[in-house]
Amino acid sequence: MVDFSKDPTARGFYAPERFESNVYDCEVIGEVPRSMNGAFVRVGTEWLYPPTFSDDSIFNADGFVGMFRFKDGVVDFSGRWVRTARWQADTAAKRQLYGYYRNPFTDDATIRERTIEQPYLRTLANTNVLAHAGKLFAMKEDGPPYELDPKTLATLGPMSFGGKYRSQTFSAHPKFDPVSGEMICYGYEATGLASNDVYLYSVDRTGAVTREVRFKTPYVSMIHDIALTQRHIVIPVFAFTTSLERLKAGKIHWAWDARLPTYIGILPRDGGAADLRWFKGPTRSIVHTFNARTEGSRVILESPVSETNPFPFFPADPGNEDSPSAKHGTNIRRHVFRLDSRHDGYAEEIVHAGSISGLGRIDDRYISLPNRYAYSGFADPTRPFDESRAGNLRGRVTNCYGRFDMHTGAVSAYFAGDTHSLNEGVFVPRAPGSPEGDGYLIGVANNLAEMRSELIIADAMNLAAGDVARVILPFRLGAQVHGNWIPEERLAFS
Amino acid sequence: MHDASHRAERGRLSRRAFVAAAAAAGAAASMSPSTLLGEGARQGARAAVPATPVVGFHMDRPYLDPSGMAEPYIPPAGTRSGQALAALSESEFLSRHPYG
Repeated sequence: MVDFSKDPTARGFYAPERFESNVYDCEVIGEVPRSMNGAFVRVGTEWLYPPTFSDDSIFNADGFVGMFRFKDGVVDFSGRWVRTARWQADTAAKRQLYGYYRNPFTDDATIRERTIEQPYLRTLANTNVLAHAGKLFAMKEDGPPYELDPKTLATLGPMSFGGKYRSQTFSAHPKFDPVSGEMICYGYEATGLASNDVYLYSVDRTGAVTREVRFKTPYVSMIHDIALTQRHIVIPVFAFTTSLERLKAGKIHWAWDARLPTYIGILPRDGGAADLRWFKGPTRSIVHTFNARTEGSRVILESPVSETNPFPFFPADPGNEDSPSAKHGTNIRRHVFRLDSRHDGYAEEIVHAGSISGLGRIDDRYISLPNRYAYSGFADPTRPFDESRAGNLRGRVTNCYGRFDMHTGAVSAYFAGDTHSLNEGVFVPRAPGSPEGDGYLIGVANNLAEMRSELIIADAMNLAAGDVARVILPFRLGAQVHGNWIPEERLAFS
Repeated sequence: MHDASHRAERGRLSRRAFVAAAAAAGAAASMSPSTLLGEGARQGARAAVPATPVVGFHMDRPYLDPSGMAEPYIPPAGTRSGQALAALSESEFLSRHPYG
């Protein structure tokens, strides 16, 4: 019996959907650019069975992948569960077997012994979906990626990279070097729950593992994302932490600990663990990065940064809370690391002081290279919001996409509408050779009044003009975590 | 991020926690001492007002905040209502929806 009535968050627009779908030749308002051939693939969370604990993180819900397939101005949509080992165990049992986010000690007694031993079996593949070496895969940072069939989105199974990828986990944010075609990927808690082991890999453009580096972090931390330069890998370690004692006590995996400093590891692309250098700074949250670059002996990192805990469902234990003087909100900051200095500190500069979402993107063709524009959603409380139709969410939903000029400080903004909430936006080049920033910003908007989701396509060079097209779905999409544009020359969609 | 800001702006005592505390105080005032004072209270323990979980909103979706400190999310009263059909004439309405 499936009963969500005890989950107070599963209401209205956020009620469970729980169905797979195909929509052929979607309804469109405006005109889809005919040059956009490929797919916008997104993954997010959708509970198949109600959570064991109603205060669990949404990041513990099943992975559900959606694909908007673009071909000659027409868009088809398909949505499928990622049928992980966990999804299959739940469907066989016809109930929720799993406990808190990344805590197998809270799992059902029928599976607990096995999930404690092999916590990577609990992965949901709900965080990111990417393509490399002709393969499409969804992933979450607590287990292996799951390969998907790009034609049908059917789940093909977990990936092992020929047995050469030996971390138990695989980050949701591998980075792709646009020059070499390599994928730089890693797993943290690589040897088991609450371990501070990180295994980092290079995977060449054919999908072969070519390099492994193993190292330890100063403390166990959420290393959700890294950044890449042409010469270095930048590894943020910050104040979300955990321990086996915490997990055995039945708590959710992460706790924010505002007493912990931030460490940023700088690893030469051709170096080993002995070449890894840790820089130390004040408490920050750096969940995602925009980009990084190496200029002479300086490494420069640009990221969405918060001074306080950005995730209320991963609270601090008593005594470890944020200082009352810490600044709330996330903004865009630049960190500069001097490799020619013996000092282990680094400089921090606020590049854009306005509050943004913690999700940030660039034109991916410039990953590891100098770039100018960053993209992020943000909540603009000065824009109109129809509370009678969309709830008391003024100032609390992401109603704008912004393009942030990292050279001049200029910001241009797209406004989605007075009943809309935007998921992460993704940049799509207008053509393969277009200059940086010349293209489209696309992403899913939730229309809270009409109870449907809409894929926004806006001209990234003229965001203030509004969207050029909206692809309409006649239903709601669950909460997205990340999505990506995959050009059709990179994947066999048909 | 926004929720953290809101929590900070509201300070230590949320409106909901205040209402809960006031309600508890009102109920206490209407009770006889023998009802009000349980065994623990008679032994000198302090009575604490338990936190009332509240549905907050973060990262574009609701979450359950056990501390009760989050700004509550109040969804719209009537989604998928008949509002969009209100402008149709009787014949237009029946031509599209013959069974109502």
